[in-house]
Amino acid sequence: MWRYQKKLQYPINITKKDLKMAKLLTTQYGGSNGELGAALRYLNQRYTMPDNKGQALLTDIGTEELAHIEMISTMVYQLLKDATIEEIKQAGLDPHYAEHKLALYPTNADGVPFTVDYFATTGDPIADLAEDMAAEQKARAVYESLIDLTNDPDVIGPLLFLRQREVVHYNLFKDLFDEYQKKYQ
Amino acid sequence: MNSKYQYRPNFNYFRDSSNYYRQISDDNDLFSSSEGFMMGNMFKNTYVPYKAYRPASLSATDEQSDLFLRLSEAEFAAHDLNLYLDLHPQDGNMLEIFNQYRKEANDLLEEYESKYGPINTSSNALEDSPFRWAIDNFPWNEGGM
Repeated sequence: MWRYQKKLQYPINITKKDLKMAKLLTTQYGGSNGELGAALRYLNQRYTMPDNKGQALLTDIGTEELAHIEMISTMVYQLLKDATIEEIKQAGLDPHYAEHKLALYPTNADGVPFTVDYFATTGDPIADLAEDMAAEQKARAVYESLIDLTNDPDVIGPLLFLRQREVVHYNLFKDLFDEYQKKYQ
Repeated sequence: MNSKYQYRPNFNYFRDSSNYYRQISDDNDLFSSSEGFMMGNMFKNTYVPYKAYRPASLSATDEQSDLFLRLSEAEFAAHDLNLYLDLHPQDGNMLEIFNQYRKEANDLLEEYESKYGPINTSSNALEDSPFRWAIDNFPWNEGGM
């Protein structure tokens, strides 16, 4: 089971509205390399990891990704807060507004909704961990693009933190991948 | 907190069919919890900066945010070591450092909740009416943590 802690993993206080950045950042919520996909992928894959070590790692990283969903969601929410209709139209968010007003909705930066395909689970621990390593690298690359696309230090700070977490997770998955390859392949 | 630890070998042996092996760790390889939290990584050798960007410096503006920051740092340190220990359960030296951070985080959590309100629904801060869980801000709101 899970318990909620009423705190963010890393502080977020965005004071400047930026609808365009909100639209781009949403991809780390509902895009193919986003945190929702990561959390659900790891928590879904963990049952068929061959030992407790692998099940522990996927559980704990999957749980941290849930906290990252909350960080990204908080950023998107704060960037959109108090947006006017005019600003929404200017940022190209009118289709989003028509369906969801200012609610969050998991899509990529182009507005393509989240899909279960992003879970990418084969049941083969080597293949699944290779997928997870790639996912962490892709998420790191997307964080770097997002950092390139903003000047707001209140946005860059949390993105740098999240980017480094992708690096850390990649290294852990790689260590487990190497171990499993020796053991099981 | 890092300076408190001296390197010591870890005698936590693990029987692995044909031979014994031991894993040792050295906390000189670790950032302090405040550095680590800032950078998103406790392990010095795996931190990779992006271009010329420096991690945001996190500072507290009042007593509450100071306590909250120290709590976040200790929780983060314990969590990052937890992930390492998932793959190295025999590393007794790292386990010892993990336990220091775990206890520090627990103490800070208790202190924070008793002073400023519940972070968990298991908190003793929920004893008195009204039910503060539903009254205090959530993290995404202004004034939320």
